[in-house]
Amino acid sequence: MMFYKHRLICLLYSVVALFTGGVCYYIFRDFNMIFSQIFKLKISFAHIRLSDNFITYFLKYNLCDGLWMLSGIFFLRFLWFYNPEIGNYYVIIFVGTALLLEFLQLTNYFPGTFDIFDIFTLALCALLEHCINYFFPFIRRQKWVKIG
Amino acid sequence: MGKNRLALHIAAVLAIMFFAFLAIGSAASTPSASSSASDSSQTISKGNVYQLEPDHKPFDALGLIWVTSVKKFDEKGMETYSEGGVVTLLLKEAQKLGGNDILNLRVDENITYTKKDIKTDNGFRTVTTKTITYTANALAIKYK
Repeated sequence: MMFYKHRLICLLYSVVALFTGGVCYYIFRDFNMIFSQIFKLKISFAHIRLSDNFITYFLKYNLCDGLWMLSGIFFLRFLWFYNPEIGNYYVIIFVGTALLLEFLQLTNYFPGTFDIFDIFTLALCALLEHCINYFFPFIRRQKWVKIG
Repeated sequence: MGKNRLALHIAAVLAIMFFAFLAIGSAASTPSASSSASDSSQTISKGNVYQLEPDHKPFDALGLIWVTSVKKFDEKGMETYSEGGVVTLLLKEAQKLGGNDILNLRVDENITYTKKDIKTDNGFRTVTTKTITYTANALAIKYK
């Protein structure tokens, strides 16, 4: 039952990160994206103008990708909660795919603009998830040892 | 158990595909320019008419006024250059004629996407920028 609860927390993290990333995209991006063409979305929050500095740039162009990356990893952790070895393989494939898609933007045949900060953000989010995944069971074990 | 694991594998692959779709879909896009030349552009035009409500006061029509305003955006969609809003520019034009308001505002919007190859350390990279040209006209009026 205890593990079931932690598995659900992984799913909750995934949904929250996915939703937050989506909201960030919806609010901060006003340039036409492929999404808006596919789903005929009228994305126009042009009245929300952010000043041009590193933080707002990060918020607009990098954080959303990072949150979606985090969401995907948490979802894979949720799926393979009882079999983390296989889960690790999928997480590596997932992170590799995300980085590959980013690097493919260097070519002219792939949509989007290559941004080195995207790479940093993706790597940072993957690292963050790894830390959460590593330290939470560690803290839990410490607690059990104390109780024991 | 085997079936359950297969379902998990399928779900994991679908999840990766879904997030890959999100990553690709969120990329900024521009209409592909028809020319195969490395530097090319494409323009989309649309016009809007705004019926402005005049105050319930008598006024004199001073004549039509025109302004043009250009806005430029970089490849990330950030504004890099702006000549100002057309309504403000029209009001300034109306003021030059001795007017104090405008009516019957019409705005033509020409969006031009320009693809340009720029040289980088790794070779060439295509950069797409957006330029919006607003051409507006209105009737300048002066309240009596």
